[in-house]
Amino acid sequence: MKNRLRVLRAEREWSQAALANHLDVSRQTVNAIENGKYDPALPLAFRIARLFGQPIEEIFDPE
Amino acid sequence: MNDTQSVDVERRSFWQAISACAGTEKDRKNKNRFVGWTFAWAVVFLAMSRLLSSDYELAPQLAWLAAAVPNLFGAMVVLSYLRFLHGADEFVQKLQYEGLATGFGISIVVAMGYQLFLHVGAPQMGNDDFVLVMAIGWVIGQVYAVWKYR
Repeated sequence: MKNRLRVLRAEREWSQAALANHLDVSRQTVNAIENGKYDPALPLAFRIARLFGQPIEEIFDPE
Repeated sequence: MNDTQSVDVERRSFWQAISACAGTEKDRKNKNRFVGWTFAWAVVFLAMSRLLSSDYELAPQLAWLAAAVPNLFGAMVVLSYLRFLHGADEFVQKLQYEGLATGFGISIVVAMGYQLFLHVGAPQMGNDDFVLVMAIGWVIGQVYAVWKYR
C-alpha cells in the first residue's frame, strides 16, 4: 500500500520523531509506514488522517 | 494522490533503525522496568542456586522457600514484559511477536535436532543451555525484524 505520510510530514516540516510524538508511536513505526514496509491498522490510520485533517483514502492508496 | 511517490523512499541503515527502537517515553519506562526485573531475577536466581548447592544446612521449609523465591521474581519478569508489550504501539508489538516466534521456533528445531546429534557423539547439554538457545533465538528474531522493516 502506498501512502503520502512522508509528503504530509515534509509539508509541515516535522521530523519523524515529531510526527511519532503527535501519534504516540515510536519513530521506527513512522519510518516503517513511510517506507511502505508496514501498513497501519485502522485505529492508527484514523489517528493519522485526523492529525492531517484528511480522509484516510487521501493518505493511503491500496494501488 | 499524485504525490504519493514524490518523495523518495530512503532506507535507513541497520544502526539507524536500531537507534530508533527506543520507542515512546512509556515504552522506555516499561522496557527499563522489564530489564530491572530481569536483572533482579538473575541475581536472586544465582544467589539461591549457590545457597542451595552449598554445604550450608537449611531447614527444609527454608530450603523450599529459597527455591520458590526466584520464581516470584521470574513472574515479575513475565508481567513486566507483558506490560511493555501491551503498552507498545502496534508495530513494536509486531517486531516483538516476530522475535518471540523466531526464538520459539529455533528452540524447537534445536531441541529436536539435538537428539539426532547425540547419536553421533555431541556433548550432553543441560536444560540451562536450551534456555540460552531460546533467549538467543529471541534476540536474533528481533534483530532480523528490525533489519527487515528498517
